[in-house]
Amino acid sequence: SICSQISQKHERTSKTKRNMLSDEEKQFIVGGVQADLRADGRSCEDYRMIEVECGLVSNTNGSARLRLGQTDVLVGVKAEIVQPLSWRPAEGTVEFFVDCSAHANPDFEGHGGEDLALELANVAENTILPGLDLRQLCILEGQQCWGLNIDAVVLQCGGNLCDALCLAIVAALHDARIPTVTVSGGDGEAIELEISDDPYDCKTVDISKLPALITLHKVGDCYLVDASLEEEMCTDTKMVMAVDTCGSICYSAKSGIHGLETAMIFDMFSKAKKIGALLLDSFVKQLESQSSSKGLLAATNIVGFLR
Amino acid sequence: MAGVEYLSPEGLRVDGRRPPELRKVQARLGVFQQSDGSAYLEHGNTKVLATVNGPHESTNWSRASNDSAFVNCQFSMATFSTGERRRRPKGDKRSTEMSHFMQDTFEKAILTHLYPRSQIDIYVQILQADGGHLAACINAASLAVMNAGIPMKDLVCACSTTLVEETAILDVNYLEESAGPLITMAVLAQSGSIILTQMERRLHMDHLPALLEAGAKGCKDVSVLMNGFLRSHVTDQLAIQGIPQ
Repeated sequence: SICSQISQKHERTSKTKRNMLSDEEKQFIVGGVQADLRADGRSCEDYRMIEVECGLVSNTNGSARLRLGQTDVLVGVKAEIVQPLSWRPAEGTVEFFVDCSAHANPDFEGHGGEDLALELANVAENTILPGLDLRQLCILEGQQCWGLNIDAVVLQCGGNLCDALCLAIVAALHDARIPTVTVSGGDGEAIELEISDDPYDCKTVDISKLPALITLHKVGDCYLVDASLEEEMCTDTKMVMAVDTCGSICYSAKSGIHGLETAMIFDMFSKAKKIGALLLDSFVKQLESQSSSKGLLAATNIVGFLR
Repeated sequence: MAGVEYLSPEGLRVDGRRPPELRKVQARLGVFQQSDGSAYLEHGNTKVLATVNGPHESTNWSRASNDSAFVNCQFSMATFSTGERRRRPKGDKRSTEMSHFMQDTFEKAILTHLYPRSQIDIYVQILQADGGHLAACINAASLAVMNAGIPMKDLVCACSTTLVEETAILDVNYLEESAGPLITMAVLAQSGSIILTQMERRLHMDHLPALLEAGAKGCKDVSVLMNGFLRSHVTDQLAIQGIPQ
């Protein structure tokens, strides 16, 4: 996949030799997958343990850190008042930016990670943007609206970056608090926007329509969900699907060198729908229970990177 | 910022600290498993992540040296770390300048003669910026280098100071950074020898000794804290592995 493409390209000049697998190891992993027993004991439909924590960065309107196995992503959402797009005057704007930091892979130092980052930002935009109701972000039609900047930092790459990124964005948007704006003035007088100072006088972003991204890798005749870094190096064809709580597919893309039969694609769709609905449901429930249990002691309960 | 009272008549700063007090420093070593060494450090609201890889074969042959290792540093700030969103996390002049400062500091502290023709990478990223960035980065990188097991002459401890109303204040936050000349000092913990001094803005010569002395004291306090973090990390690791102490 993406990570293995980079490691293959830079095999001779790669700064770390840790991302190379021997043929025997690849055989071992592929053989295990055929028997529905992966290297870490999971079945083909199991996700690794997901840890999510919101509200880590107080400079942002919302933030979340998500760990999926060894993959670590930190997302921050910042809101500022901007002019809306001229062809969408009644809607706010959302921009996605991903930074593949050198912590994840020394090859990402300088401009090394920009290709991967652009690809991830595009996937995130195609997945998340359709699920957001941008009219909620409008302040004054045609003149002022909220512009959300969703910035992600990839801290560690342990496989399945796309899924982790999209889930982290969902968590960060759930945590986002946009201050209430009162508009005063009108015809004749200068229009004034007053942003509320009260930290509790804010609105949240509706995440009910946001999908979860499921990446399915094809290994022989089987496909697996949530591939680790080693598994990604053994596979070369994958299908990425965004599934929401109603079970509808919001986005899908196939990449890789081998073809997929139609029957297999349909099978993948139905599997992704099933897994995605379960994943999203339990994920959102966990987010809600976290935010309701925090309450007024929010700041003191945050653990962040200290544990 | 006109009108901000950096030092109240009672001698309290904007966040309630006294002039020689540091912010709450918390740290954790070994945050990431994939890199050779990593550390997370907080100076109050300034949060920094540092990762170290190496020593490994040098990838940049033009900078490799036959008698010592080459220390490669990269400084970056997350786009959401500052109050106003940054456009680029790294690559601007300021980040390059900070990277060079860190490289200078660690080239003096790490025993580079032990690893000829190799390279040590130090990556530092600021997740939340609230002043005292260079000092926090040096501290975090120092812990990360220790975590990676790379031999150093001594622990590198850094502290930022500034002058407000003839009083030297330590560990400046974002508001206080614009109060006066900002000095960042890095010292080797035990010997106290200064390996980095970086100053911005104007300072009258008469105030310099007092500031340097205050900075050295601040670095000493930081070194005590960092030693504590290292010891507690090692104790935890021994406990995890079941080795009795």
